[in-house]
Amino acid sequence: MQARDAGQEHNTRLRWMVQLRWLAVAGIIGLGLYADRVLDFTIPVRWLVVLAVVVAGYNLVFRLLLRTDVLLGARQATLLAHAQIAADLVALTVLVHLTGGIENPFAAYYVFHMIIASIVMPRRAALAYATFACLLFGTVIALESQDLIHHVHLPLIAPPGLYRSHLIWPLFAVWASVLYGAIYLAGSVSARLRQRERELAQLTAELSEVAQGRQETLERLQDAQKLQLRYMRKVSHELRSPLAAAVTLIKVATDALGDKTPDKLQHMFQRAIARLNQGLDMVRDLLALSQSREAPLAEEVTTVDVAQLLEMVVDMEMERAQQKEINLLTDIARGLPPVEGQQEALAAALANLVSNAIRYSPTGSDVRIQASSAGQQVVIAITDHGQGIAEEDLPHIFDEFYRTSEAKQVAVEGTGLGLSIVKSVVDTHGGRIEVDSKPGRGSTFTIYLPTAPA
Amino acid sequence: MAEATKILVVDDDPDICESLRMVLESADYEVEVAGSSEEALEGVESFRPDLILLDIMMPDGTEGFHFVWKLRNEYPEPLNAIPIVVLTAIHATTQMRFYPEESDGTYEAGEFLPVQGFIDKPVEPSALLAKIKEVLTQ
Repeated sequence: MQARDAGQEHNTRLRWMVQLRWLAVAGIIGLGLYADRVLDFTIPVRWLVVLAVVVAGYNLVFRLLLRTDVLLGARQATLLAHAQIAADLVALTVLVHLTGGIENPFAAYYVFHMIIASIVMPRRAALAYATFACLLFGTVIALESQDLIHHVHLPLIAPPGLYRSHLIWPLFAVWASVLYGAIYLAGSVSARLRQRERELAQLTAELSEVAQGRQETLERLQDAQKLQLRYMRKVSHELRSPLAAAVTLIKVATDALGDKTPDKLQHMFQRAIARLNQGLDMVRDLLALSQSREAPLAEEVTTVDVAQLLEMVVDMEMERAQQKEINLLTDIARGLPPVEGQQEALAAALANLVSNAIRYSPTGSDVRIQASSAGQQVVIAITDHGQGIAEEDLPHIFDEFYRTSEAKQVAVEGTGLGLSIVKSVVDTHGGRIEVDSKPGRGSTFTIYLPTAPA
Repeated sequence: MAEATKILVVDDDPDICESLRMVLESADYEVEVAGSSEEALEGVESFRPDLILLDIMMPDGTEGFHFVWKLRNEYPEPLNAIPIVVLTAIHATTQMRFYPEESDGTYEAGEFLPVQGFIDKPVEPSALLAKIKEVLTQ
């Protein structure tokens, strides 16, 4: 992939050179005619046109070699770059010779070729081209100074005898220093750019490797989590099955015996059932607790409508409330923002709080369920007018297996895991839970849940 | 007297099956039991029950779900419409859904189970009989 990108980058640069060359062809003809017709220089326009045609010709060849749908190999691309620059230097030298040699200000155009060479080639190759250009230009001005080849004079730009004087060599030296200077500067800049590109490419590759590694780890973790969940469900099933079977057997047996069972025996059967139920509740709560501590699996997370959730919870607890003639009062703000999470875990947690409130409230009292939003949070408060929680118990009520002595009096059965599960569910949803309680006056449990990202 | 109403009990625990059979037969239902979902599907065709009592959490934890899905989708009328009451250790009111990992495209993950009622395990005989009566009269 990377090699391919580099190759494409190469091709783009080579095509860019071809496009520039069309401009050069137009420039040769345009400026030649302008110099000849308007500026009245005596320029061999015919040869200039021949030169333009030659340049256009080899440019066409390059253009065909660089068709967009063909990707050149690195070797081919390098060769093509060399061929283009070498041909251009020769063409430029011919052009300069035809238009005044040392007198022609366009001799400065060699600098452009040096810059291009510095961009597309390593520094050593660019330096070789500078030397090649010096050789070409030097040969031309040397041959012209000896009248071995024709010299085109540009009146007013240079004195008539300049091209034959010893001054051409200091001028040549200045010109050559410009070329080498340009190579040095452009080469430094593009070398640094190339270095950055390489670093960037490497960094990108490393990053994607890291990202992939993390993705794989995440997937493995999720798989492990699913496996564990399945295992826990199975263990829970295996533990509950015998207990549930025993309860059913005892119930059916006592029902079959009916009134013939002595009261004392009947009581013992009831105790047996109660104890077995305790075991069943314990297994259920331990499973719920261990599940609530895991980060929820991605596929189980949905956007949860809090109002709907609370409606469901009220439905779930209505029967229990009616048995104690407790009014479940709801006060749910309109247009509550949704939260994100596992709907069933949240419902179970809220139901747990509501059922606690019902259980520890006096008959005929109110249990209030309020929901509102504050900033980026949804606030759910459940208030009862029960016996409240003693101050020394408050720091421990979310601890596993902790039950206050008042709670034990009200309900003998109970695993002491309910509030631990609630807190754990709230925690894994990025929220928090607070409790405010006054002994004898009641308690308020408040849950803060972050709203779902928009 | 009209033919007795027939109930198929599907549970892998023989003790549960026996207890339920006692309870149901004492209420004059005709009962057959099946210990696996294959047996249950056979029983549906041979016994043609009026109602199925299904333990959802059989050993691998998924059999019960597959049984419901198969009966509802792959069986002809009227077998595919036999009412099902699910026996579950999970509280009935949490509205049981299909587990996501079981989604094979035929039903949506999280879709509600297409059954007519839930009974909490362990089973209270009187509650069971009341639920069955309720579902059968629907």
